[in-house]
Amino acid sequence: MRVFFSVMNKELKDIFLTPMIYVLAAIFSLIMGWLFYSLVMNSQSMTELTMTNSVLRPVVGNINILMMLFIPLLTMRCFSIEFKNKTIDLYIMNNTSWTTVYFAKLLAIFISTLFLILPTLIFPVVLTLSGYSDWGVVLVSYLGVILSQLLYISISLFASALTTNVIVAAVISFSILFGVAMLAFSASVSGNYIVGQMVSYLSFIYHYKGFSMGMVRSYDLLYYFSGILIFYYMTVRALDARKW
Amino acid sequence: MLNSISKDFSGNMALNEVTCSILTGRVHGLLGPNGAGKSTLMNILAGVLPQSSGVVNWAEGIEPKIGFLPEFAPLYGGMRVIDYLFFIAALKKIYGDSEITRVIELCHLEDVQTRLIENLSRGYRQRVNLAQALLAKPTFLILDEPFIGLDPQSIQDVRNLILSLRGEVTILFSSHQLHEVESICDDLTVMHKGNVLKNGTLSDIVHSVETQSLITITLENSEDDWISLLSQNFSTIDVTIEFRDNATILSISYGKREEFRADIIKLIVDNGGKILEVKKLELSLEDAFEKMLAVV
Repeated sequence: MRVFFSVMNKELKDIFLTPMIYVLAAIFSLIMGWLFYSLVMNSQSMTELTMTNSVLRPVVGNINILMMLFIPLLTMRCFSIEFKNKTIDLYIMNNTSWTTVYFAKLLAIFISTLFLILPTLIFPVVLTLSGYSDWGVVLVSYLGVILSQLLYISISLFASALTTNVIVAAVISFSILFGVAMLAFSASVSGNYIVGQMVSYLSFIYHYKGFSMGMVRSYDLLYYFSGILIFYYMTVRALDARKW
Repeated sequence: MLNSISKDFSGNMALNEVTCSILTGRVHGLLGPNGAGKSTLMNILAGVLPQSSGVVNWAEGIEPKIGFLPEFAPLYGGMRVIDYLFFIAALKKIYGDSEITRVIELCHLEDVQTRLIENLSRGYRQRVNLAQALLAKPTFLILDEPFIGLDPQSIQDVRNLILSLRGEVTILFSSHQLHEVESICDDLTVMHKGNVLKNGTLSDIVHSVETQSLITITLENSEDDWISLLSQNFSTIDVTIEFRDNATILSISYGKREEFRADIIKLIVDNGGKILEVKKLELSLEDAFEKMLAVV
């Protein structure tokens, strides 16, 4: 475990001792704050909708979309720069398992995404001050956000393990994330209901929808955890392949 | 003992059935021109690269504790020297800071331990690289080009460090600085294009490529025709003469298997020559290395 925490601490220092995380946090807070303000103002005229539907769901949903842009920027250096600088050899020389390195990096990036997301908890607190009380939906929505972040990070780490170029890593990561998200919209193109359902099942949006409605469905949990494990496995294979 | 180690990089044979032995507790040099496969072999021994075929047989069947200084230093530029060493120590599962202090002192990093690695000179970076290799007291130290980027004082420090570890640690190192290899190594492996040309003790290898014996005889200044005299008596020798500082210097070469030294000295003395000095010239490693490469 000491190796795990050492790698994680190193990653956290890499992230928090550079200005990028603070720039991203500022941009993220600005966009989310503006969005929340707009939605609250608009909700005054939407008397038939609840606060959950008119404010909370769009806000949390947009956290997920923004994170698709931000997570590739946070993860792009994780493995690619280690390959470029040959520091990846340090793990091989010292028999550090890829599993340890992978999950240490995943947890470090996850903590950095929490640094971006946690300030948005002020939004439900503000809503509570005006009488909002559906905290069950809030907690389940944020559980969905957390699982989505973990899956995005897992995919982005895989992209970073494929190349020594950080820009290429970020582009691969963006492409996979948006490609998988877009599956939900392309499902209807097939014209076949069963194929459409199968395609949309692969999309993040399909599974996140349940969380945003306050529902924890077993197949949604299965989707996120199996997705994380599949990309963990693929990353380890990619790391092994580069060693050869 | 390396047994038929081969490494194939997608059709490019970096190592071709390399077989050689590295003796415990000795300093073993790895020589060869660029592209000979030295770094590949070292990476395989350090476990960074897997071999395509062949086996490494460790003494008594136990893999030693390996410290590896790669040619390209695996350093995190944004880390302080001390933090980097603590990070490597954690990867090696070393607890406490006594080992860190030891390698900092060994590599003379006291003055720069709190500085960022990216702000260090090339020589200091190489010292940090060496420090990470020395962590955890390795019993087998692999040093790929340890003198690169070092100033003369640092080269001397590293040389002394290697010599101080001789006997207790097996050291394999490569370098293009042949005089360093000559002054440090007990044994040598010479490689060329992925093949082993020679493997053995330094003196055996040098002698194996020596084809001629060369002696110089310094006489008191004399006008005699020594070249004719020697050539008439010894048909297979080559003689050149040089006059310097009131002395006559005869340079005489003959086949390695022949030994005329005593006869030549006797002939000169019998003919009234007054010998001041007789020297047998040894082939330097640099000359031997050139000869080895010239025949492949």
